[in-house]
Formats: sequence, C-alpha cells, structure tokens
Amino acid sequence: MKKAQIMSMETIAVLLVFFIILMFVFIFYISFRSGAIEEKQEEFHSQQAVQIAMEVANLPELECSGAGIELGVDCFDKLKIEALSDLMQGSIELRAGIYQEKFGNSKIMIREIYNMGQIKETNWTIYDREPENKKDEFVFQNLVSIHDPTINAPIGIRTIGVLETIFYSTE
Amino acid sequence: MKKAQIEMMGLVVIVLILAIGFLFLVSYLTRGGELESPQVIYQKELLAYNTIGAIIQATPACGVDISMTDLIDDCVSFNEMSCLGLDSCTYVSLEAARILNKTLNIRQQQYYFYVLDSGQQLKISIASGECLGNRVSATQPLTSKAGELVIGIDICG
Repeated sequence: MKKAQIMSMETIAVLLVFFIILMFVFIFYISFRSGAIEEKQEEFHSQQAVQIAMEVANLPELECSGAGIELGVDCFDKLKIEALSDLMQGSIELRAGIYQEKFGNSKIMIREIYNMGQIKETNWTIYDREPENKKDEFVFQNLVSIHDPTINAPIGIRTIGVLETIFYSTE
Repeated sequence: MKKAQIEMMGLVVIVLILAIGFLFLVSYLTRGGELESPQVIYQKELLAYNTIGAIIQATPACGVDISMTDLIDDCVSFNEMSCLGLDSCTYVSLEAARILNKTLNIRQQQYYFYVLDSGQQLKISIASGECLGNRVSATQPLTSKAGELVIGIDICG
C-alpha cells in the first residue's frame, strides 16, 4: 500500500471514530430530553388529579352547608354525597353533560373510613369515565371531613373520609 | 498550520465532545437526588393540613355533642374528661393512630402527629416509624382553656 493510501485510510478511520462518538452523544442527549419531557407530562397529569380534587371540594352539590360548619378543611355533606352518587349512576345525560366537561376522563370516589370510633368503609362513586384508550392513571387521595346531619340533628356529627380522584391519561 | 497542530486540534475536539457527554451522563445519574417539585410538595401539604382538620373535627365515640377538638382541649388543660373509660389524652392518641394507620400507613407514608400545649410541652405524640425521605409539615394552632395549643403533623416519604 502506498503512503498516500495509508494516510487517507487513517483520515477515514479518525472521521469514523469522530462520528460514532458524535452519534452516541446525540442519542444520549435525545433520550435525556425525552425522559425529561415524559417526567413533565407525568407531573402535569398528576396535577390534573389534584385539580379535580379541588374542584370536587368546591362543588355546591357536595360541600357542607348550614350552621356550625367550620371552614379550613374539605367537608362534604353525607346526604348530598348519597344523592349525587345515586343521580350520577342513574343518569347518562348528567354524566355526559356538565360533569364530563368539568372532570373529563377521571374517576371520583369518596370513602368513609372512620365513623364515631368505628373503622369501616362505605364507598360512593361520584363520577366515573374511563376512556378506552387509557394509557396511565394518576391517583390523588386526600382526607376529608364528612358531615352527617341525620345523627344528632340539626347539628349532626362529623366522620372522616378519603376523597380519591383518578385522572386517566390517554394515548 | 503544521500537520501535528491539526491533529492536536482534532484531539481537542474529541475530548470536548467526550466531556460534554460525560457532563450529561453525570447530571442524568444524579437526578434521583433532586428536590421534589413544588407541585408534589403542594399535594403533600394539602394532605397534611386536611389530615389535621379531619381528625380534630371528627366526632368521637363517646358523645355526639363533642369533637376531637374538645378532647384535645381537655388533654392540654385539665385532662378530666373521659371517653370510653380512657382519659382524653389517651383516647385522642389511640384514635388518631387508628385513623392515620388506616390512611397514611397503608400508603407506606410515615407520620409524626403531635399536640403541644401553651408551654410547648408535648402532650400527645404518635409516630409510625423512622421518617425517611422528604418531609412535609403542617401545624394548626388552636385556642384552648389553658391558652394556645398547636396540633401538628409531619408526613414523610
């Protein structure tokens, strides 16, 4: 082989190594960026679950009302929970109307977990719309106070519940 | 420019590219130690404040006309009320632990719930275990018969 040929081979080899390194750096950078975007997206979706929980907490259809109701904690009226849950189960129009606009692809549940010293579970599903093309689900749970006006009327009693909101992300 | 100088330039470029790649690798590998985002902290704080609120407003088993707040008030002042045969401090401690075990503990979240009297003396203290990971705290001051009291919770993990 001539000297010139060896020189050009050497140049080609150096260039090859250079581009291979460049390619590795580029692939690593792309995967790094896409990971960061995915993370941001997950954060956004989990924030959606919190947003829904906050909207539920401020629904006049559910929130505590009447005398002796203290502010400072999310409080739901047990009678209102039962009524709204029954209404939602029985009415497609209601689920597909204003509530779908408000809550989109999500599930909202309230679980009573503590009632006057008794640990027991009573569940109500307020809203449920799981999309067919569901990709992932993001859950947010928060402790809430439940006002039961049927016991010790008219003041009622306070029990403890868990408000669970699930936000479904789609493909 | 001489041939040796050109080769040196080439080497410098390769070293630079490797250094940038290494920097990305290091930042990628050390991401686990990052602080939680403000959104996650907000979610935990919301849970912490609501946990205190829900516990203190709950009606105890020993009377529909009183709340846990009344029992906590009695606990830091005279400790003369009794609920199901237990004094107010013991009853609140047991019930708060039951509620927190049913909610935070089953989600593998450690907690430390406490009540301080006006002299910053610890009156009630319940801990589920060692506090690992990031911690979020919430406190609720209340006025009792014996002055200001503070109810607080630390949620970990």
